Amino acid sequence: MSNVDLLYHELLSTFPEERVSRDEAILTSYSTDISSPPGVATLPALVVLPQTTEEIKILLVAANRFKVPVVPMSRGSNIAGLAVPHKGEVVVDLRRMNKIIEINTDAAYAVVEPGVTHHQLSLAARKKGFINHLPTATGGGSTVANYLMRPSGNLSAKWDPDPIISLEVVTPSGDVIRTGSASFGTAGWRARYGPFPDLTGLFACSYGTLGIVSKMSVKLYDRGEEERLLITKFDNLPSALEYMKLIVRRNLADSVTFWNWVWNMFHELMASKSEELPKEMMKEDQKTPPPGIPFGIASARLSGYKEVVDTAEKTCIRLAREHGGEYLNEEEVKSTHPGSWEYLYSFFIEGIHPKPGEESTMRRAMWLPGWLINAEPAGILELEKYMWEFAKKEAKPPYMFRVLPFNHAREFFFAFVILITGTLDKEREYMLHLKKAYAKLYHELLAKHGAIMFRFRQDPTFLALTGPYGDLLRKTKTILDPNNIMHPGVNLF
Amino acid sequence: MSHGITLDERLYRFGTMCVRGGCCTVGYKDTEFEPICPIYEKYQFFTYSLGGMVQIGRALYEGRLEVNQSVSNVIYTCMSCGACGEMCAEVDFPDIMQLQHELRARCVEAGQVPYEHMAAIEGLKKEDNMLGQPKADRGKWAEGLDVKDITKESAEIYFHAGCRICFDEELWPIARSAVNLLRKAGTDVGIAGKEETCCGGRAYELGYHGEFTKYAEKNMELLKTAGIKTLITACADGYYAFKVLYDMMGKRGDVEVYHITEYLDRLLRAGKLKLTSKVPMKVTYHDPCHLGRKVEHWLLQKGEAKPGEIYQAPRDILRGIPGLELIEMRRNRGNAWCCGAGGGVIDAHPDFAVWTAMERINEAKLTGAEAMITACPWCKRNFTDAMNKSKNGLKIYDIVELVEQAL
Repeated sequence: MSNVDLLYHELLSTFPEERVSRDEAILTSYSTDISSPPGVATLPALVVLPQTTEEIKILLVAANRFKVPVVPMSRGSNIAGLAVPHKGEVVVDLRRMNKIIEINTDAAYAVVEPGVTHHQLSLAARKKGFINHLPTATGGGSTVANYLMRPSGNLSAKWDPDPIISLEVVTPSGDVIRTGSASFGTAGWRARYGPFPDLTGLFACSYGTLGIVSKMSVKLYDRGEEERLLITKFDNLPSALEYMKLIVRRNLADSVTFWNWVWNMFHELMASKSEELPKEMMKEDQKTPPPGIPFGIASARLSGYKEVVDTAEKTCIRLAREHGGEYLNEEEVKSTHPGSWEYLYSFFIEGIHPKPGEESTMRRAMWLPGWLINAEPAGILELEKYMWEFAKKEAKPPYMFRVLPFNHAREFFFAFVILITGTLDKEREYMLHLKKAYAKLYHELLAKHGAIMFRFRQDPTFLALTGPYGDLLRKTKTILDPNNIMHPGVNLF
Repeated sequence: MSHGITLDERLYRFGTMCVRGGCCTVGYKDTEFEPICPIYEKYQFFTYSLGGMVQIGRALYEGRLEVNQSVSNVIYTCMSCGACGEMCAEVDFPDIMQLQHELRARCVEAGQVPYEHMAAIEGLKKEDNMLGQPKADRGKWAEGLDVKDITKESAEIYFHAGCRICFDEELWPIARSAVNLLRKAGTDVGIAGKEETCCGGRAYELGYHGEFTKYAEKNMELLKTAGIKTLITACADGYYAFKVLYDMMGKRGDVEVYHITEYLDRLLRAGKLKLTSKVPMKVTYHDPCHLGRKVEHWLLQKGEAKPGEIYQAPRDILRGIPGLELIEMRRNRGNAWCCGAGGGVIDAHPDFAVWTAMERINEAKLTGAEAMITACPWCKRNFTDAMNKSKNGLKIYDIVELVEQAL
């Protein structure tokens, strides 16, 4: 019997048969995601659906004993291959741990399991008068997994870009560790920091390589008496960046995001349901918008008491004007950019992602994994230029490469999403080629622009650049996971 | 690239584009993200969702997986209810269930089909119906009605009863009421009696596209010979077949197809029928998948309907019945939870079909309604079976039965 067979039979003594599978079709459905090049896939050894922390513990202890590697998967909507097996691991699918355990309106936090979706939490929080961080990702994605990978921090950037408070983590040895105030057992889940070093942060961006997060407490933010979407248009990025800095740092807006014209055209496409990409969107010069279309728009969320929001809105409009921008009132945006309004209102005011699929994919085209890059504000223009050049270099017929940057104001994330169009037959080679090009980008962006790419993409040499910091992490990894069973395919260590 | 099964390239591309968000399994904000996919709720793995199925389709196309028992087991647990297509914005194929239909066709080619479906198709081949009943009994439902037989005399409108009603005596009142109502409104209606044949829709949904084509041609020949230009049915499955599948395959010709609710709504608006008797009852309405999302997408693409229109006729009829109070379930219209009878599940996985029906019945009970109304005999059959097992106490009616009461 192989170790996987031994593990399978051991798990059947705890798990009902309908929650442990080695069925070929089931395994196959877990083998690929949007980042998998055509024809490239590895089957998981098993798929297991735990429902409790105790079941995760039993599973990890057994996997550790038999030295069978595992891939944690919360909802599976990762687009970078971080929730699919790479070496025949066991997929631990956490989607059935989907309870919102607590919404504490007094201390403004929620405790959730990893299978809870953004939509679930957002709805529950709003019913209680709160909002939560909402990333520009799919609403069906896992809040826990997304927050652990650094969310893009929309809606609440002015307060704190890190929404995580405390965690419950199960390690391969079977320890159930609680961090933050939850570590004391009786102190609740309300605080990230206590008298000791912060272990919550250790597990953020660890991509399931140190243990499985089975619970998380997250910050909630008061919706306010009034919630308002403020749209301004700009002819260039530097002006928009200055405006964005001011309105967030001086607490006028909860958050603000800048969308260049290609994005806005994309939003219009969502609303129109057209199958064809507009010709303007596909033109060679991606930096110049078509006549009559603004270079980009900044969407800001304002909230609070009505009088305060009225004043904040007036001030934002004044600041936009002072920086060369122009305020677009609601009726104007609805008539000229109906798709953008629909998207942005749903997202920033209702706290709900537009209808699934629409925010993530596009007909007749294909997304490639994007980047979330953190850089100095002053470096963003150079960074943008560099990415345009990168796109131009990599755009080989029949593919069209579109760079769709958008900016978040708090930490100056700069997000690039790449869209390709073309035929299918050569995609495999092309995607494999691009994966190599991506790997080089990490190093080049850091070296040339001091920019850090988030959303780790399986490049073990990247951690090496951090020197003693990486050494300490490796030692910690050895303590927590001596047999390296936790998601080894991620290649973090 | 392909080294595996034949699959429309667009369907394959759909598989490469899915972000596995799982949104295909829940309704949108108007349902507060409640579950809408029965297989996902029941079988729990990601596999049992549109997202999971497209990954299987992708692997089959790429030659990483063969059509085998394991694949067939997954593919045939789906009720083909189309709820996933309501949520996934990528689904804008001619038919939202096109991927499912293609995969099932590949299962048929590979001989990987549930035994119960093979038996149903054998019955179809022998007796021209999906229930394997003697075809000579097909017209019994109309005995004593004295309605025109279109194979013998001319009529303006053909009423197609459908296999489910013809061979299920408990459901005969639906067809009898429908014909009575049409005649009371002065419509020149006829039936085909024992010469009626299966629409082929269920065969199509099970993956037997050849059988579907055969029956589509047979039905159209019947209508052509009888000079029929208008077809009405009280079977939502049949409506989907005649209205969408025949059209998609270029078989519908210039025949106008109506579900009985659409036609009754017209007759009521034109004042040809008047609802005057009180039916004092609190009811909720269950949207059949085949009289909703599975038809709407096609009609919208063809420009034959406005968004939401397909759901309105039954509601308008119910609201027009004196004394009747209609209370909506939260999962309604495009977000409706399936009755459980679709996609051959009622045959191959009857326990799952009943489980699915019970979920809906419990939801209906929560509204405080005394009765759940539907407009499809397959829904009524499955709900009634579930009710008989649960002794839940909710009454199940087809909409035409209430309309007849209200005259």
